[in-house]
Amino acid sequence: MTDEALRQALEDSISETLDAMFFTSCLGPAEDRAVADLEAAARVTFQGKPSGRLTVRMAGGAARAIAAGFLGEDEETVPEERVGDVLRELTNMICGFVLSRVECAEEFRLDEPKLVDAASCGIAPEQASEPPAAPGAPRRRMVHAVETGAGALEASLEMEGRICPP
Amino acid sequence: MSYRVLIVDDSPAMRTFIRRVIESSGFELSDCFEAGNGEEALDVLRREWVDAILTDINMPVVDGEEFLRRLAGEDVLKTVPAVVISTDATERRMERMLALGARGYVTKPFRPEDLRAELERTLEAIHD
Repeated sequence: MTDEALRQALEDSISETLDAMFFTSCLGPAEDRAVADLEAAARVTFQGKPSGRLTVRMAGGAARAIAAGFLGEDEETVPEERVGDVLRELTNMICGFVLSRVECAEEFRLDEPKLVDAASCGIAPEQASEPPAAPGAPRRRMVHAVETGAGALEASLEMEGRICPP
Repeated sequence: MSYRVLIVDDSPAMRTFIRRVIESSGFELSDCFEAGNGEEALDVLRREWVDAILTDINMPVVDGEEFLRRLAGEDVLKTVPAVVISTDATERRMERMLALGARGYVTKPFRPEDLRAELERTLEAIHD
């Protein structure tokens, strides 16, 4: 799979998920400065061919806005715990959607999404607390960031091994 | 006609969303039960009769696949129609869940009208 096809799969997964279940439109690519200080993040790891992880980081305002829309609650009063729960579910859905396009395996498995520190899982994943990929394993990373109107959302897909279709 | 539905998902947010979709799409719910995994769902089903089950696959303790397997092993409960709602859109997974007795399969993300149509089809089938 070419980088362009992988980027398109990630972009489509973000926009389709936000549109279908979070009633939020992507307004276009986010500017670099908009993703410099994202405050909320969730990560899901997956096993398949390839295996890897997807991390979603969001501006605090965007996370609250989509959580309120998803839950039918007031943006001002939706509890932080519920915002985190929605962010984990959003990450889970974007990951499942993109994997259905890039997995070689007939099945894949997603682990439980977890909230992570947004500051430590951004541009330099090798600096995060999790161990790097096994030595010698081909690794690809694709990042796409969009503007939602309430703030930026960035999704980072990291995979080890061959990606399908070739 | 009003219905009794059980939603099985380990995400409280997802359970809330599914419930909102059902209620806002015109289905009259007399009762809507929730469970965080397959084991909790079986506990509910042994106490309460429901018209349909909506279940996730990836869950702790007892996942959706094992849940359907256990449902199929219970004479009364196996007649309750179950619809799977999952991020897994692979054909092999869908085929296996349908072979285990699922009456429908909706992949996440879904549009509210997609879930409504699947639930409508399932409920109509049991009342035909």
